[in-house]
Amino acid sequence: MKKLDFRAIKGLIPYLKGSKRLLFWTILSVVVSTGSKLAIPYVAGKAVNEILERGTGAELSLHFILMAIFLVLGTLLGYLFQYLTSLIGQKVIRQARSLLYESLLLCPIRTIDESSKGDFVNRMLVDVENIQTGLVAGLASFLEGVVTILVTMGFMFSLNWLLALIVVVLTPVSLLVSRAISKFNSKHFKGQARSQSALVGYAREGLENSETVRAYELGEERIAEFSRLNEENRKDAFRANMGASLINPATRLVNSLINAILIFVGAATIILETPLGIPFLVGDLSSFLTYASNYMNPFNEISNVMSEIDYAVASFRRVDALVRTAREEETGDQELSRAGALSAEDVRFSYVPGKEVIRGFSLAPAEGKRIALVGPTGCGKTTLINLILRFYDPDSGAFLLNGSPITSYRRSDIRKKVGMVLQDSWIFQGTVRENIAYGKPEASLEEVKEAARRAQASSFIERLPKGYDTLIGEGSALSKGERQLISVARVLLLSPEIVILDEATSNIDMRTEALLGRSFRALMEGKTSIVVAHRLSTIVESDLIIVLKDGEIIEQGTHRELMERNGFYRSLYSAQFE
Amino acid sequence: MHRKASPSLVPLRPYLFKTFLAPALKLFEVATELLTPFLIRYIIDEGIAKGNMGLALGLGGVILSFAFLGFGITLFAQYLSSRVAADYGHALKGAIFEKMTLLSEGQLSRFGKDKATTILSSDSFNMQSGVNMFMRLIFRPPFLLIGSFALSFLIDYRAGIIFGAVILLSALIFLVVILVSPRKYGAIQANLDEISSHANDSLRGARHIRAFNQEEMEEARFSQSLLSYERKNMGMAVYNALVSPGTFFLVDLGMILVVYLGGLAEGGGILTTGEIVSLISYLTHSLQAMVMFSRLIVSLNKAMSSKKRIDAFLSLTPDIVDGDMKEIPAESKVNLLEFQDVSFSFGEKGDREVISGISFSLKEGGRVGLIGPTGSGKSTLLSLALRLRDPSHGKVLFRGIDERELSLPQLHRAEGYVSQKPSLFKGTIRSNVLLGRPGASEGEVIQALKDAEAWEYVLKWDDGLDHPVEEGGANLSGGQRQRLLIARAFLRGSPLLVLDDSLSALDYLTERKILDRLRERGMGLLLVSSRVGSLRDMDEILFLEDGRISARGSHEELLERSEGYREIYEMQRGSVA
Repeated sequence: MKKLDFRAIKGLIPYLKGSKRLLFWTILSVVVSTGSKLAIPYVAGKAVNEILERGTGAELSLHFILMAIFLVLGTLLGYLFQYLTSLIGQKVIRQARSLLYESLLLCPIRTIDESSKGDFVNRMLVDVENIQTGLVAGLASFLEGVVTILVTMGFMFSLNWLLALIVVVLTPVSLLVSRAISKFNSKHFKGQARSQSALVGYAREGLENSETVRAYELGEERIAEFSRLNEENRKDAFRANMGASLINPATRLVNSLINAILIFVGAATIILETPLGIPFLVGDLSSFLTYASNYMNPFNEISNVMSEIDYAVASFRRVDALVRTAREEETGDQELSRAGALSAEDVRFSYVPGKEVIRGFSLAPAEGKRIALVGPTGCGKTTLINLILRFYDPDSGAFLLNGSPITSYRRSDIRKKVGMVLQDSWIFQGTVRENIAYGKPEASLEEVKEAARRAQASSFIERLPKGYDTLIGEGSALSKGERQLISVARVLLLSPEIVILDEATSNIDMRTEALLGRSFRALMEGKTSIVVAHRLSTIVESDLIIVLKDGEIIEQGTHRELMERNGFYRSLYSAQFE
Repeated sequence: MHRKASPSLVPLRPYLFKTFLAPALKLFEVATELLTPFLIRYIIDEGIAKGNMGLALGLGGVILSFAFLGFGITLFAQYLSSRVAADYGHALKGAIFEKMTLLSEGQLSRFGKDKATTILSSDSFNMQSGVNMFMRLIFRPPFLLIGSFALSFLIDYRAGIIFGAVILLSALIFLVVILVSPRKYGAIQANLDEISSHANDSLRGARHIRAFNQEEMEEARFSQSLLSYERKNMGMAVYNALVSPGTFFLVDLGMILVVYLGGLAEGGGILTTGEIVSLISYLTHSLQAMVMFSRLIVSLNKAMSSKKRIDAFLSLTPDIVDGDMKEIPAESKVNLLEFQDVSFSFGEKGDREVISGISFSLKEGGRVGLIGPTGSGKSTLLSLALRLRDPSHGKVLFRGIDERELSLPQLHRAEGYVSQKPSLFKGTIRSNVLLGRPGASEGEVIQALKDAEAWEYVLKWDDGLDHPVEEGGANLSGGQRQRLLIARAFLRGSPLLVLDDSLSALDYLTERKILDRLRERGMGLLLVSSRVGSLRDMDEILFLEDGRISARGSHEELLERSEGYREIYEMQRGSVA
């Protein structure tokens, strides 16, 4: 009867997890409470008739007892309905956020690298709330409306079928009007959601780089660009608001027209006394008019809700698109009990098709060896680490562990064997202790302190206001080097079988780095390790140094061999100390 | 008493007239709606009951023309409210964004960047819809209520009393909700901030979460926040759910009493059928009005707590402000940059000083290097030189003038800066470099890229300068990002360049080339580096420990004077030899 986006509603089902039983009670409560509420005018009309017939009143007739029962029933179950609707709404919010978060955790890293973070957060915060107000609360009103319409129709036909017929035939006019308007609105709501999200993403980017924005006086320029986006949003907001606000008055107008017709015809049936075999009394007219407005009101309500639903459907699509982002598939489930020899066979990789970043990387099986990757900036070192940790998979060739391609193991199994410090250190909202114990949450405070000590981080941590219990996060005043030390402590707490250090100490001063060297040596003792560093002093002791340029291996060997060779490595090396 | 307008409502000021005009217009609609049942009563009692069809038709015509008139006026009112809400939202978001750009980094971090984002996204939206709802609904429900009350009193005073009781009790229900909701809503918003910052953390740390296999733990932690959010919301819903059934109960109770009253009186002929019909119609109107009102209240409640948060943000005054002196001396015989006994602490007086008693100077084209352990205050010192922060004590002079007295834009133009963070914006290579000096020619951009050793890799892309750059340079390697940032600073061509370990991802050869190019251009340099190799040619090297200069001098002098510096050098050398 009403144009509803059923596909979107069907799509909602996975978000209703855990509230299906509640759904049953919700429907039951709305049916019983609406039925009770609507029975009251019917009984009231009969009471009026009775009073008119008998010419006296005063005594509490059965009618009034019935009305009292319906009143109490309608109120209590009405409350239950309201409460359950909120509950389901909140559960949907929780489920939607949880699914969004799950897709964030399980999607390929590429998806995250390529997406806008502000936009993701906006979907999680704003769009999800829209789903609740529009789709859940909206659908609840819709349901309440439908039940009201059906029950009212029953009462109306039992009172006067001719009048009822007039109501039923004419009401769709008001529907058509609101439907036309809301169809027109839908695209404006989408536009508003889109431009709002662009706005927020833009602001977020500026906030994250506020130092640069200030130092480069980008303020005015950014304000200008923001104004442009904001102007767009203003237009969208106006159109969406205007469209939505048309529906109510338009349907109200149509309804008063219908009301006028009803009074005339109703009056005629009373004056003509039972025409067409319809017994119709004055008391019945009063209850009928109540029903007629009760019958039309839900249509108003529904058309009201329709615009909210439209808005929510736009939001829902955006949320659902993210939820349905392809999950990273496991490519194998071979058992990995011990990480033995690591090797590589002609690995090739490109982020963008046709632009190879790694061009045939091979590595003879190495176990318990210290391997260093060096080379000029952009030669593909970090990309190789991305491939070993399986954040990306090669286009051709493979890394092998124990002779099998790493794609034949579960990702988590490989990562469990690896301890790594990545180039960009990561601090999350939590205490220092939680940050350090990230890879081993069950670690005791003593273990955490020991790891921090070995990471040369204990002295600055102890100077923090609450020591290890100090809350830190992205915005806290820790320097980049301090963040890096915490990342190092995180790995020192583990005992991985493979160690990967990608510029682990790039922001740490020399002295601290030298002290760290001892801890790193202990960590890597007897284990396969891969170290990326441009401070070549840190890698001279490596068993194998691989020199990369433009994604290709141009030299490899020990420090001594490479120095004797007098090639690229030597020139890199001397540049440091000339 | 003079109260200052709350900053979140200031953008509404130009629209104040319209803001109240729209609801005033709505009064016409209310009037037509109220008169209709009154007329229906006459149609029934005088027209139908007495068989006077002419009167009934005439009054019917009046009702219909009222309906059309009301509709026309309402359309205009709706136009006004949509317009004002959109304009207000626009102005409010503009003000919020402007504040974001004016506040210093220190203030933004203290306030919380996630919170600031929420203010722009959901809080401003709540205010915008709050204004819209206010204009559409503020007068309609109360006047429908009052009008219904007055007219029912006209019909029968006893009916009027019932009405009054119903309205008062309903108001009581609303009062409970109004009092309870805001307090709960504050806690809910705090929880939402937590969810937002967790999601942000996980986006930034996607690789770390996976590498440590902590997906399940993160999910559990996140579910915990979500669950607590749900519980807090339900704590509020317990009260909010009262509104609709509570008002229904009161209104229907009133209706039953009216019928009962009719029954009592019918014999005595006090209430006619027409009167009962119109009374019931007024009660129905009241019910609708109250439902409308409850919706308005929910929306305004939401807007009120959003308003508090926006106000808190908008009333922050930027702590770094423009000085009076608009011109920076073109060139001077005094120092380009000078620190005079500068100290800095983050919080109140008495807090630990991050920087204490720093004095040094840098000549035009001169070079000063900073080295020291992690956490020794190097970055803070740079932010003081750039006037991203102001010293708690002492002075920072640029060309002999206290930086606080200089025009801020001029000062920033005179100081190029590359941060540790990859401050790249979504756009292209070109747009990112051009930020250094908007309006520079293509040739200049290319030259800057060449000087920054970046041109070679830019050329490898088919789209060259127009190669897309993701937010934060996510699609570039660490070294590519740094070279792009250096190119931006080169293009700026300012007399002083401040580099915060900005060459750390570059190999030594590339770094050397870039530093040489800087020297050729005669740019003054304030360089933080952890590599002794990068600092060897500096005029003066400051060795920082715990926020103080523990030793200073040229590379050779420091080797002689400072054990700490020598240690670093030896370690580097030692491990090499």
